[in-house]
Amino acid sequence: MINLNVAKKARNIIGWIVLSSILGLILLSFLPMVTVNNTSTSESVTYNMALMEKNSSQTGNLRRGLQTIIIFFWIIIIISLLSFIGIINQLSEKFLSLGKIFLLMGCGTTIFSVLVVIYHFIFMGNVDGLENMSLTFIGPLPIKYIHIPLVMGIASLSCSGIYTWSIGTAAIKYFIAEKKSKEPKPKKEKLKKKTTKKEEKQTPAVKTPATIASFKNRDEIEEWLKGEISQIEKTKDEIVEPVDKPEKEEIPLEPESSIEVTVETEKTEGKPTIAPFSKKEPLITKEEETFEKDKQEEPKSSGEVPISPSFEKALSSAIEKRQATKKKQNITEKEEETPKEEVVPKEKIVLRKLTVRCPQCKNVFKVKKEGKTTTIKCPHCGKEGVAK
Amino acid sequence: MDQNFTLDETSGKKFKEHALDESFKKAEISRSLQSTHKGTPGKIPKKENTSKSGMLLIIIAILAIVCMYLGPWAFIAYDAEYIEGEGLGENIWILRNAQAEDIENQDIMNLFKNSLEQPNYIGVAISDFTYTPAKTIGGFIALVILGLIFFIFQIIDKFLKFSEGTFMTAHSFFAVFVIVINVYIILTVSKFIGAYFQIAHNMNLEQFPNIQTIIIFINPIIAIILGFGIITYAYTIIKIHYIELEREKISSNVRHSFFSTGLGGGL
Repeated sequence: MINLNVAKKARNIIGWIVLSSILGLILLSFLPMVTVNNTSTSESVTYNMALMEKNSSQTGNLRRGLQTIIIFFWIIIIISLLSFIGIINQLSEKFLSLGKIFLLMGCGTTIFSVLVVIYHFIFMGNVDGLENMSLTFIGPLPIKYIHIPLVMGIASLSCSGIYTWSIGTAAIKYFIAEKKSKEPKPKKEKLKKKTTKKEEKQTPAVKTPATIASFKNRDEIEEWLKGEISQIEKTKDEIVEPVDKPEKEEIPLEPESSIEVTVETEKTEGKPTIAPFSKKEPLITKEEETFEKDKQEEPKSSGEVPISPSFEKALSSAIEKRQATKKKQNITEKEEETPKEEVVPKEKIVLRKLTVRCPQCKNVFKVKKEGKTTTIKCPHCGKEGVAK
Repeated sequence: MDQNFTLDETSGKKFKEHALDESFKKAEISRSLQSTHKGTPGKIPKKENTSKSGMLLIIIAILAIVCMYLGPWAFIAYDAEYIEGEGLGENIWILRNAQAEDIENQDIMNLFKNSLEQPNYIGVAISDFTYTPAKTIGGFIALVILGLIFFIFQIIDKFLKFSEGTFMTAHSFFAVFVIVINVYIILTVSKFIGAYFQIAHNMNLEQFPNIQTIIIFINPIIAIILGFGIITYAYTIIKIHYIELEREKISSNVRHSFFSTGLGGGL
């Protein structure tokens, strides 16, 4: 919730709050607060809190006011110490929720500090309101004893205000960030759900080669193929267009989802080079293979439907079109990959710098190779040779 | 290639070995750096830094109880006129549970006596020598109990092995309790300190006992000194925990930046 700087600042502030509160509490309990003027004897008796307790008939209300201030000081001390534990919890990352509560509780010291200051002023006002009573001065100084705990209260208030500001802002930032981090999650889930639903909808529409076998009549197959060809023709333009895009896009050929159009790269000595498409992979797909097998098996199997010329034409045209589209795809992929990879001939990289040993003086030195053959001259003995 | 000039394979191997050595050295350096960052706070286990605090608290509290129980609560020297060969005139040592009958001198008795006709003017009554020591001793007994609980907690920790965070939190709670109890003790005995202010202000009164006295409230002063000392110690314990965690956080940040720069990852 809080970073180190805020924690350090809060720690120092808490120290001051605790110190000022303890001092205020103790000073309030024993310092002489009120001077009672006896009109008959013209003498003035000084009362502190302990003495007020003994003479409750005269100063009972005043004592209660001071006791309330003492209770507030107690609360400030306890809360500020607990907030220190909260900082420790935050840093140790243990009991984080408890730590957060303690840290935020520390902000409550501001309220109690305000109350301390207010009750001081109320006490001073009450004493001033009485005829025979006055606040006790510190010797000849114009400062009254009650001002000392009041200063402690003000110090506590200012420190707790700084604490509340630093912790409060950090907490607000934290909670805002937490909210933001929580918000996008359900959207993602929704999107996932949507996509899964779409996929579910799409998947049953795809006709796999297995379904081809389920066709009973030749006419059904022909009709299906015609439909396929028309779809291919439609999607042909769509396939050619995304060539400029760097990322591979799936071809939206629904019945051909099982067809794997992959361009395999062979790594020759750690450097990938694109294998020529025509040599590596036969363009006949599983679907086509099944048809070809059917073709071959046709004369063998008696009683099956014979191949019509229109079917053969449709099949051949479909295969040709598919090959054409795949070739175009491969070409575009090559164009995309070549600038990234910067295929440099292997020899140029390896043979650019050579470490050779002179057969005469056995001196080892490095040479730069330019072209296929380079003449080498030993820098030590001067023996000449050729490196091919 | 010409047969006379052969590729020097050994030099290539040497170069490879050299490169490998360098990379290993870098790895070792990085590992040692990591260990130093990690190790400095880790060398001394964090729990051991404050492990004796419970025992120390018990010892201090027991000493304080003995002092409060047997020691004098007030020393009063009245009619303090120096007589050669005899020293001060008369001395009074007021102990715990002191009664009015124990004080022979009437002026000094009036100093602490509280009656409706003539209130005491220093805020400390004779009865305060009974109730305040009881409260103070009770506070120190509470400290002993807290120390014992913490000691038992440490023994349990040896078997159950709590995490450092749990240990620190528990220890901090103990420290907070210690601070609160000590503030209570100081608050209880503070009226004896207030008596000095009262004497200074009310000495000119006609009713005020006409005595030349030297009053020292010994036990209250000791209790206040001990109380402030223990508060400082307890607060320091919490601070030590904080500093340890801060160091750990900083070191963990260093480690993190170390890996992110790629010095380690590059190897």
